[in-house]
Amino acid sequence: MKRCFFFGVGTRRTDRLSLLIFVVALLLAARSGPALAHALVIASQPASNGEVTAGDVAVDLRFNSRLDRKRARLRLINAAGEAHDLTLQADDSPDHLRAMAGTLTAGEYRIEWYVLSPDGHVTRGNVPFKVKDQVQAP
Amino acid sequence: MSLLIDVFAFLSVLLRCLSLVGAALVVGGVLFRHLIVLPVADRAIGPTRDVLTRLTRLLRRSAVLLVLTATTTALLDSMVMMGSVQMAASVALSAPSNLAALAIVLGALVIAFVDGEPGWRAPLAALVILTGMVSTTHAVSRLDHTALMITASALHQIGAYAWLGGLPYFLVVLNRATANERARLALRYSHLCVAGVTLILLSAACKASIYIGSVAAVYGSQYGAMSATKGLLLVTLLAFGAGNFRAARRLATDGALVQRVRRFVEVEIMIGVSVMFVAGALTSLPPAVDLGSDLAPWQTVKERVFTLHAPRLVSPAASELAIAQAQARLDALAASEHKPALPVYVPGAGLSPPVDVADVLWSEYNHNWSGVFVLTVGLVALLAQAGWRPARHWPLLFFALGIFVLLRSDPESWPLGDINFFAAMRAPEVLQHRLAVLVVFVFAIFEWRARSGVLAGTRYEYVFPFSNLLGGILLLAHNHDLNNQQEALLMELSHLAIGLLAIAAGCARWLEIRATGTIARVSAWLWPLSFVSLGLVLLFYRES
Repeated sequence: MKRCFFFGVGTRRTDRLSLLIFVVALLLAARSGPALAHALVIASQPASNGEVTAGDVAVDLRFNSRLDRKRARLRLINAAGEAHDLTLQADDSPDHLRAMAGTLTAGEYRIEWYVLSPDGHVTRGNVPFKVKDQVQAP
Repeated sequence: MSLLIDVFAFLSVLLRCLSLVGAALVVGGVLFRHLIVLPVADRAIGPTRDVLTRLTRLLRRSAVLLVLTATTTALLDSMVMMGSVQMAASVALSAPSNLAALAIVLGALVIAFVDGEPGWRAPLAALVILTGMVSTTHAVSRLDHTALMITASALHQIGAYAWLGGLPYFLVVLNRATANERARLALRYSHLCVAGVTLILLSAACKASIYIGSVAAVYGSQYGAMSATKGLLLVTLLAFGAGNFRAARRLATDGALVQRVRRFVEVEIMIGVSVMFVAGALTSLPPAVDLGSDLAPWQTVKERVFTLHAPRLVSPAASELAIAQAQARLDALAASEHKPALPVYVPGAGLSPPVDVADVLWSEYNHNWSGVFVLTVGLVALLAQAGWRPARHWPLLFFALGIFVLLRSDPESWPLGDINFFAAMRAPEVLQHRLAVLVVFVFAIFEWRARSGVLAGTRYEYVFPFSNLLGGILLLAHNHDLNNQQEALLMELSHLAIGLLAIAAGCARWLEIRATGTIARVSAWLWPLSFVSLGLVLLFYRES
């Protein structure tokens, strides 16, 4: 029986090397989940194209699947195009991204989100919203 | 780098599709060699040795393809992550999908370089590759039914790999084995195919009920529509497969059947690759059940796709389009404030360009006139088939179509707009249009030379079926706008039909060239008819 060799490496050594590769590969494959299905925001606070009152604004995006939180990013962009990164809050929810946007004054804003897709590429989207002035009590 | 994310995401989808083809060839090849050939083959006999050597060579080349595609995908995705959100290289490279890619690459390397033919290494490596592929599907990220969907995805992939992945190896057997061996192996492979088809159908039913969930989601979502397209391709494959299944039982007694089976298997491989690309593109879409109330209602689908309106043959002016109008306003404002004008739209910046009524009319005009060109091509090609000699120059009409699409498809860029020709290609849609134009030009040049006699009877005749297949596949796996699901679906329904017809034309032309007798004669009429149908779909295309 003819055996296949890799650069002349002997059978026993090749077998041991192959076994090692299999163990490592299986561990990697098993560790690789959970990945993220193509992410879609299915609910958000502030709502897409919605309005919130000026002041401290909390951001909460709910996605259609589990998230790779370590590789997710949120960014707040104002009407002038100035952006600043939001710090994600520690959270147990597998499908939420939460952050504090800070104290916002009246104007147009959008939250830009970046997450990892199932085949590994980054998907992104925007949640535009308006901040209106607080109505003074008469 | 951040401006290239969308293009890289599109390339990543294509590479993912190629990896799926590679995985099918590798796992399917291992299953074919170890379940079909090795248990019955007498490896000492010369002819069998030759077949086994060729099978192993194909398996190793497939493994090298998988190594290349999986590695490139992982590196591309990591570059996107690092470039877009300034992620550290270690964080990007250790992403779950990259670990899965590493496992796939290790498995493929074992098969490519240290595969002991009858031993345990290749089956174990195939198991690692399968695990890696399943761990990057929708199933592992679902919040519910996770275990069930992982099982369904694994069974679906095993079924597809066993059947479709084994086809090129079966072709090797058909071409190289002795008559007796061929008949025996064909029978064994047909049993494996039946098992594979059963797994595919059972798991597809499970996936459809969880990921699609309703009939309304089939026509009302991109995921549903693409799944239905995959189903149509599967039915076509089953028809060819059924023909081969019956033929496999008569191969031993009827040697003339071999030629027909070979041609059918070749077409099955072409359609199988298309199915893999649709499957790969599906992984980039959210399942239909996640869209909630964002499904397109039947009335809208019926009005937009199935109701005929007069073609739009008059176009609005380029200056009336939304980007041009908004840019003119912004320029005027900047001039009044003595500030430099900012671009209203930056290709690749991640924001959808503004769209107005004039843009919709512009797009309809482009599609409808493209329909006039393609319909004319189909009709003239039919005349050529009927024997009218001057009609053999029909491929020249494709040059006119290519120039028309190049000039009009993306009016915001050169020559009609201000955006640089190359910068515009940071938008995947523009890149796809220009790739399509390139395919059309290549196809037109070679087919015209083949028709006019210079390249007739040479291998350049195959440019036609391959370019049609490539065009159809690119349309089926094209980029999806997730920001407006309903609108994207309504446009995609027409594009899916065009993609299917292009693949049908490619397969028919392939059979015309390669087959003989009735099959060749019927196929010779089928591909012009596919062009006629394709032209009609474009002629009545609507976006409003």
